[in-house]
Amino acid sequence: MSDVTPRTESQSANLSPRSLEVGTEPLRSRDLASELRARWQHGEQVGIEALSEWFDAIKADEEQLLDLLYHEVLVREEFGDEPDVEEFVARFPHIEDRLRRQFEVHVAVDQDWRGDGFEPTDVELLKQPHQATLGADGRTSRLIRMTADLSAPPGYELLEELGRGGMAIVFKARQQSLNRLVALKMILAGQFASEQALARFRQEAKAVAQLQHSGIVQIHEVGEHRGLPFLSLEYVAGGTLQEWLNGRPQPDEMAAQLIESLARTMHFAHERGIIHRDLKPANVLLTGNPKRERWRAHQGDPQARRASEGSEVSDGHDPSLARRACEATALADASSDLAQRTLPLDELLLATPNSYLPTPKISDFGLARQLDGDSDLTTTGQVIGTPSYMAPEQAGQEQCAMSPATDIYSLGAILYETLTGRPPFQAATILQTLEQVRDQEPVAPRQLQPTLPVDLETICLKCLDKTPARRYPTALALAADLTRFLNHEPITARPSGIIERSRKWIHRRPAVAVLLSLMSALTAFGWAALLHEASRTNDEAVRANRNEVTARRERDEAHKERSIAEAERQNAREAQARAEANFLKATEVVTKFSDLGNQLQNEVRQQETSRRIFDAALQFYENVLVERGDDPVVRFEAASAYLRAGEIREILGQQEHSATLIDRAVELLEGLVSEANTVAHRRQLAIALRLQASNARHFTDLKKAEAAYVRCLEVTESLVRDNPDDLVDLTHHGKVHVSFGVTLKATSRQDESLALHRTGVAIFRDAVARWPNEDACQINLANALHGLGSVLWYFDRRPEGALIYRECYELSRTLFARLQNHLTVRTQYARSLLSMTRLDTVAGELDVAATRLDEAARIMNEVISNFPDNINHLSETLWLWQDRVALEQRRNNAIQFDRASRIVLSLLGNLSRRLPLSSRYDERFALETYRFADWLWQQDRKPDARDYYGVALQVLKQVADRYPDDPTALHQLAWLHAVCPFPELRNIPLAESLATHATTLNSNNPLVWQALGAAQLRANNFTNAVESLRKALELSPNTESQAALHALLAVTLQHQNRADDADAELQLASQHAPSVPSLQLARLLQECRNSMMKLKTNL
Amino acid sequence: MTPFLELFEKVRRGDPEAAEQIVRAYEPEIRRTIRVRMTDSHLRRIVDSCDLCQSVMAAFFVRAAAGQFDVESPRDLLNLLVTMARNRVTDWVRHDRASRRDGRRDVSLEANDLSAREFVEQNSGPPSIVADRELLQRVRSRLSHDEQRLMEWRAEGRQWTEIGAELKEHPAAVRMRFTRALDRITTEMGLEG
Repeated sequence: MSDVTPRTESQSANLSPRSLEVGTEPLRSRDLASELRARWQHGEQVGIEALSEWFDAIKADEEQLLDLLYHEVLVREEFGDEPDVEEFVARFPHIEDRLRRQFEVHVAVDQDWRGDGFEPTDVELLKQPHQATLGADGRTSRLIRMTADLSAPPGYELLEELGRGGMAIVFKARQQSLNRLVALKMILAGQFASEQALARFRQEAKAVAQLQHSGIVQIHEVGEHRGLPFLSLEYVAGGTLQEWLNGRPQPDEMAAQLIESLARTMHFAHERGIIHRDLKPANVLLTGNPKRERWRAHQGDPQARRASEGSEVSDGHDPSLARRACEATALADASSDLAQRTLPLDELLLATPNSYLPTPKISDFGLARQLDGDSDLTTTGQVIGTPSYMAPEQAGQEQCAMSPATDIYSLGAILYETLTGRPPFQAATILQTLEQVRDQEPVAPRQLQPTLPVDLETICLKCLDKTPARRYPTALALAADLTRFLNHEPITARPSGIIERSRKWIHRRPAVAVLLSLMSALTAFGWAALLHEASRTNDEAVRANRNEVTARRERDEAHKERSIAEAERQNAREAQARAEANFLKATEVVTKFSDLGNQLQNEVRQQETSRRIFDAALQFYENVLVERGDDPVVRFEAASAYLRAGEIREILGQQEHSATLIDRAVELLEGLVSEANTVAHRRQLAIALRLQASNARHFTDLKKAEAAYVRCLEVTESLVRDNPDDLVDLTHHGKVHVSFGVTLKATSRQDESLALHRTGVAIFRDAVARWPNEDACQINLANALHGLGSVLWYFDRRPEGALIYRECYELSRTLFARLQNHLTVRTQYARSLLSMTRLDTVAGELDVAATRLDEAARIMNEVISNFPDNINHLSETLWLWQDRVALEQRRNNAIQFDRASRIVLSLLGNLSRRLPLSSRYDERFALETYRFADWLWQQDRKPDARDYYGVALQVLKQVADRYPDDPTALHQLAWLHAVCPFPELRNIPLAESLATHATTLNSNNPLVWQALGAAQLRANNFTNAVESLRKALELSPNTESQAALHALLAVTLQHQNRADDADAELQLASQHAPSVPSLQLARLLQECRNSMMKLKTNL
Repeated sequence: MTPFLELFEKVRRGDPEAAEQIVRAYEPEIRRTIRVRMTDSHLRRIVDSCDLCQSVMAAFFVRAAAGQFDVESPRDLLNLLVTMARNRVTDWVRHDRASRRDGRRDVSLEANDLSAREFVEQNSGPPSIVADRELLQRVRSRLSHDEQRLMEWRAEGRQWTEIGAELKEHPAAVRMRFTRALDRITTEMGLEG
């Protein structure tokens, strides 16, 4: 059994909602298993805990966990390991019984499927080990199982394990006959080794045998032991390059020397028709270094210093000192201490007076391929190699395209890592790395190490070119260029120019490139003309001035020349006009492309393209602004560009960037309006202000939002006043009312919010009456009705709210029947279905509600799959599933509740990941986690419940740390610390202080007072608790929340032995509770009634 | 008698709850084993691990109650269930190949509703038991008179050796005849095959 090391918490990613995977594409244990297999394939013998990013997200789900563990068992068996149930039980003691049963079944299945008389062909597919992540075609290998004991072949003594990979293990061994150290490579899978593994083994032997070179690890013997081949290889004592690098950048000359040496070696192999295909630092061994003790001496190790001195003398042939030096070297080898590992490689190679470069030796030709042979050991479609160092043609499975250029790429990747401390591509998963290798350009080394010489960067990037033909033609050419660099001579490689970089970009993004190149071509025309004319203008003006001076000086004779000067000035003016015309042409083209961007913004899966167009336009205007910032036309167009770029970023969830862009747009437009109060300026300003407010809402900066809305209303009002028959202005005016109303709802300003919503509805009713054939008017009316209904419902004006909801639903349904493909109509219909479920719930028609939610989910699923980048749709879907959770809780449907809760958590995880700077999804994630934990508690699944309470607390704590003045996070954290059923998670003093702080930040929020009341109740501070809860009651928006508060008050009064008062509160709580209360409320009421009875009995 | 054998005895007397209890002990793990080891996407489309287990359970109940099995320990039971599951997969694969059915036409859930499908698969509870006394009655009614007598003897707890001696036949031959009869009936009733 191999030593599978689960990673510790510190190595894992922090548990956070971001670690949960996307809502639309939930975790699939099969995908995770593929990732695990890929790791094993690359020698990382890890357990599922190593996939920490995902593991954390699923570990609480026993079924998923077991699935994944079983996948691990199969993967490990596939790689020759023999997983043992006891190891798994030790790792996951809480599921011991199920693990044991799973292993029992596994063994039974294995035995049965190997039984006599069984036709393997029929269930072959079932039995096949999983297809390798990197694209095996289903014909890979049989199940291999390590059973062979790895005893030493005769004549060898195994000393220690040097390393192991997916297929083979390498031992340091002593060849007894010659008393020499060797590296003994044996096949890991024993007698069950697959044909493929054996073939690779043979291939390595064959390849290395042909390559007698000091830069290649030499082969001593090819033998067979117990029917299995083994290789006896040259032992290289200095460890691998990877160990020496240890993630640290190395000096450029040293790196150049090293790669030059490797390149010459590889040229030797290439000349003999062999390509390595898996060059990487781990496959480069460094010869033992007799000067190693010098650095130890340098580090202050007296023993090593003595040895070092001895070593110097040993150069003078003193045998005793030389022996001492050898002993010290052996000691240094054996200790493998920190001093060696922290020593920079340049010191290793260059620190001595007689600069000593240990020969780098290339090892592991297991994947090597004979260029003109047929010994390709991979099946069609399989990707082989190590992703971070793999050429794109390898990552892309274009096996036929492999050539020496493949190795040249890998040499470039090693150079890159030696220079920068990291490989050119390295992502969280192997598959992502492969994608990067195929589709992305590496970050230029000088961006990581600004002091690097340009020439070395050029050489490195030439090796890493995606197109093999653009790399060095041979490894020798690479070596030669590196030699030139080392000799301070000009190199042959040339850095990529703008054209070359564009070519690469176009190659990667053909669709966007076509659009942008068209745009660039047109704008370039405008620019070229503009620059040409501007330059001419300047020259002509100078000449005119000079002539004028001459004319003044020779006034008598200058009459004629003055007229010439005048003529030239005239020319200059004309040139300026032409330049202006060209500039206008250019802006016109940019505007047209911006319009195209606008259209794409609403097309399926085109939001990212749209952003690119807007960004390109913005760049154009930013340049123009520098030159012509005083021109109002330029400023207006630039403001529009900022606006569009900001808007698309908001859609894509990049709120912070969006806010910056839109603030800039507002600034420019306010300036323009103050200079010239035109309709166009005001219209654009109104749009910008509304977006600014909406952005501020995202960051819960309600003051900024309110200020922006107030100003926006001023502007739209003036527009409607000036253009009463303009539908666009009217629509905008209505929308601003609705959005502003929503914001005020969040601050519990009921009357103002309602007034705004009512005005919004009135505006759109009027619009529908005046423009009955305009679909947009009806869509906007439905939207406004929904807003009004929600506010009425929220503030407990339910009869009127129900009427509005019904009207909204009917209108939305009619629109949906007619305009099924209209995006807004679809989302609006889903929203109206959602609001109808609230009416159904109140009426006790829970099954009807569930059906409606199903329909809404179906619609939103479609929308999300069409617009995966639009953050607002994800958010809408979240609302829907949150209602589903509440509904299933009422229906007491455990399976559906569980399912809906997981979807909600997954969606929240996704949103939180997409909006890392916004706390609101983290807060909701915590809230939902808490709700889920509460439910688990009720289901008597206490260990699970404890985990989820823990997660909720952790997330809230993170948010509270990040936003210490966010009252929502504070009161939620306080509430949870006060009411959590696990005493060890409670922290009453902290709850009290957090809630108190929250009340100072937002004293209008009833939940803040409720949390404070709960904390005070827990702290037996009953008098203050009553006060806080009464304050919460005053502010409470609806009867359901009032019912909960009355119940809490009743409990508090019971503690004070005020039975009558408590009874009165309990009555009120019962009256306010809805006919089908939520489970929490029902439980609270029940507990309250029970303790009431006890109290009365006692009294 | 061990608690396990007591339970198994109840199954032999036609108690569907006992059958359910006995199968449930291993059902989730067998289901997982099949699901995880089934790597072929085509096979996954035609074999649903839930359906498979449900069908195994019904067949197990019918055959156990009819007296086909002699099970001594939980390990025997596990081996039996695993074999039955394997046979069921084999049947389905054969059937699929024979009819050259295109699995791509079998769409069970909306293609774009991946998340829902995933959650349904992960959260669906154990399959509802279809094994009941009525089912057993229907099996019995399809047996010939001689076969019914075999079933009754087995229900009385008689061993195959005793039955063989009674009928003056080799016990293995009697047992095989009875097994074939049950194969025929379970196939006719659509429980297997």
